[in-house]
Amino acid sequence: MEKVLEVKNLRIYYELPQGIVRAVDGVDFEVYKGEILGIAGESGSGKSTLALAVAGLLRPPAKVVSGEVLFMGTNLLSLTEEELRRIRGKRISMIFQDPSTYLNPVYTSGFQVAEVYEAHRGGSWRRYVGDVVKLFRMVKIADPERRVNAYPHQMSGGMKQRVLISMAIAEKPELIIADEPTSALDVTIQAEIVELLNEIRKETGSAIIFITHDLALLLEIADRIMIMYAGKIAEIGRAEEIAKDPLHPYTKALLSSLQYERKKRLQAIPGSIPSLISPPPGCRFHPRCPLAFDICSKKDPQLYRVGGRVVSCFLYGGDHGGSA
Amino acid sequence: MEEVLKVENVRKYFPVSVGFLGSKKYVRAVDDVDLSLYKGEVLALVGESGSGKSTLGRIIAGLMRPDRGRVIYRGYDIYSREELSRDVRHKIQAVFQNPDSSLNPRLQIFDILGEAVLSIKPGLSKKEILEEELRLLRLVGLSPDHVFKYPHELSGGEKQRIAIARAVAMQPEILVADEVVSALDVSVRAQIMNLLMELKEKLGLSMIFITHDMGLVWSISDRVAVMYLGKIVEIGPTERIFKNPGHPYTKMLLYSSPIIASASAYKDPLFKARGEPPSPIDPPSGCRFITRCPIASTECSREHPPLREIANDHRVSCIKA
Ligand SMILES: Nc1ncnc2c1ncn2[C@@H]1O[C@H](COP(=O)(O)OP(=O)(O)OP(=O)(O)O)[C@@H](O)[C@H]1O
Ligand SMILES: Nc1ncnc2c1ncn2[C@@H]1O[C@H](COP(=O)(O)OP(=O)(O)OP(=O)(O)O)[C@@H](O)[C@H]1O
Ligand SMILES: [Mg+2]
Ligand SMILES: [Mg+2]
Repeated sequence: MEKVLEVKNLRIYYELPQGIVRAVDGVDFEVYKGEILGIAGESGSGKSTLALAVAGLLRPPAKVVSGEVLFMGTNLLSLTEEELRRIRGKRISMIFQDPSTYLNPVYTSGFQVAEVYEAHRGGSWRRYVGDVVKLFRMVKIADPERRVNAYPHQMSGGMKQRVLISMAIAEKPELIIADEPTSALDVTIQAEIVELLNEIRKETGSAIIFITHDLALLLEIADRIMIMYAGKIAEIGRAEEIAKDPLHPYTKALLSSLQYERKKRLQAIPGSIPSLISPPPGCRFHPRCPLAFDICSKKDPQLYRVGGRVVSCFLYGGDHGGSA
Repeated sequence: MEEVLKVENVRKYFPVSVGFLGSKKYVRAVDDVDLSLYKGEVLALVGESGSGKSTLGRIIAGLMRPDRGRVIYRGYDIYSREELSRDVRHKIQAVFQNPDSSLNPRLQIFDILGEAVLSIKPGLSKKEILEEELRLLRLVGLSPDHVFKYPHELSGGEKQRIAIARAVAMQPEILVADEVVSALDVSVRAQIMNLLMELKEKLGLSMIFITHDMGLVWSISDRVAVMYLGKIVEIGPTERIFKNPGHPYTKMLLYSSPIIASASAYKDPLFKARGEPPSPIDPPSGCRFITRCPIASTECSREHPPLREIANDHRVSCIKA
């Protein structure tokens, strides 16, 4: 299968007065053409930082400490801002959680989408109004001829998200990064948007990175899932495999906390998420892990291959002797 | 079953100024709602965003006077005579989604909890207050050394435990929990849910549990009330609602909810989500769900149907149910 994206040993730190936040700390993964790669992980696990890095949108105090982000073979981290601009919005596009922040209240939605074409193809935005209507129809905005003239405040949250999606797909990008695109929406609207993204990837062949903290949602829509914990990858695998047979103790715990049984206590994970300024030594999950043994607090687990999967846990590989 | 709370015909409209010439319109946040809460039960309140769940929750918790209708706690109208209501109001407590906005950042936990403790037991000495607070912290699973911390020194889950401790300090009989775990991380969410259930049993609380998460509804509630645009459109026992939902909106909600559970909710592809919720300012005439309903017909545009019993204790406001 064709690789659209390959991330290698990526480390992104935020250098703050209080210390260095190791937000993304040695991450390796691939995205293949036309697939939905779901990234799940708790708040602060580094998902958005990773997304911004791939979209070339990192800003200080974020600092790339090591690694490569290869998009169709080109390392995005070595490009100039000008070169990035030609890729961003055209070959890689992004959708965020809160559509209102990304729509300008003083312009019509249609104008803002037409601007995407104008930016990449030139000419006046007016030339593209017909294309925008087509796009609106594609993202299932009812009454698109009228809606291109609507201002953001005249639209519901779900509708605004559709407008942003239409912007993201305007140039049929090879990669769409959706960072919590449905987290601010209602359950029923979320379902509609998720279905829409799924149809779009089928129609356009775009690969989608879908980021959310909602693992249950990912299990329904993603082809493969990457679980992050405290800046690191815990596990990557096909969605069905993760659902049926999670390997990493953190993935197991997450899944069992979603196993709702009538009138039974939920399976809680003890403790809380570690600080990324002074993360626990060794495996970052070890203080909360029911299966932790000596080595887990001493050495960093690598990413070990288990069948078609990758898991970062000493239960599945590594030198247990502890010789550093 | 012992009824501890009764909501009668409660309405809350918020004025919004639309357009020019001061044409006044209203958001019908809660539109003539009736509800009963029974001793020791968890009643889940679910529904579309903006459907009026929080507004109803605030009214029940004594925090917002309704435009009309009554909230009756054990025979007392909590919004009637002031002197009486003060005695009963603390019996109904609320905890909200965001502990940051409900905990004063400038006060130590000692003072935050102290205020609540003193309002129930005025005249306690400092030492007695501290003892009571340490008991509360133990009750919500926090170590005693948190008592002299400030909210910003605590994690989100710990702050939510403090908010719960403060509510419990008031010795309530009813707890309104409005999205109390929505802002928390998945792994911490289960801890807080378990705490709530434990407290409910230990203290004999009755609960109104407002949430978007149908998985949680399945796991903890005895009954479910479903709201849509200010109206309760369905109410009934949880298992019944999940297996035999009566209202098309409930079906859509269940169909859309990603639940990996033994919950095995009702899933009929006819009720795949579609359309956008209409504005609460100008709700459709007739049935409020008509614009998104896959089975609507012309009769549905006549009036919003009243709740009708379709099975024991199960009421639905749909003429097709
Ligand atoms: N601009 C910034 N400056 C400093 N620290 C930051 C900044 N952005 C993120 N961080 C820190 O980096 C870590 C990872 O944050 P990130 O936003 O990538 O997490 P996330 O997984 O997207 O979380 P969420 O689920 O809450 O969106 C966190 O500890 C966060 O506090
Ligand atoms: N203080 C207020 N002033 C004006 N309008 C309000 C006020 N509070 C709520 N509303 C409106 O009333 C309606 C119901 O709001 P409410 O917060 O009760 O909904 P909800 O069901 O809790 O939604 P959510 O699931 O998003 O929390 C919404 O349209 C909201 O915008
Ligand atoms: Mg994020
Ligand atoms: Mg609310």
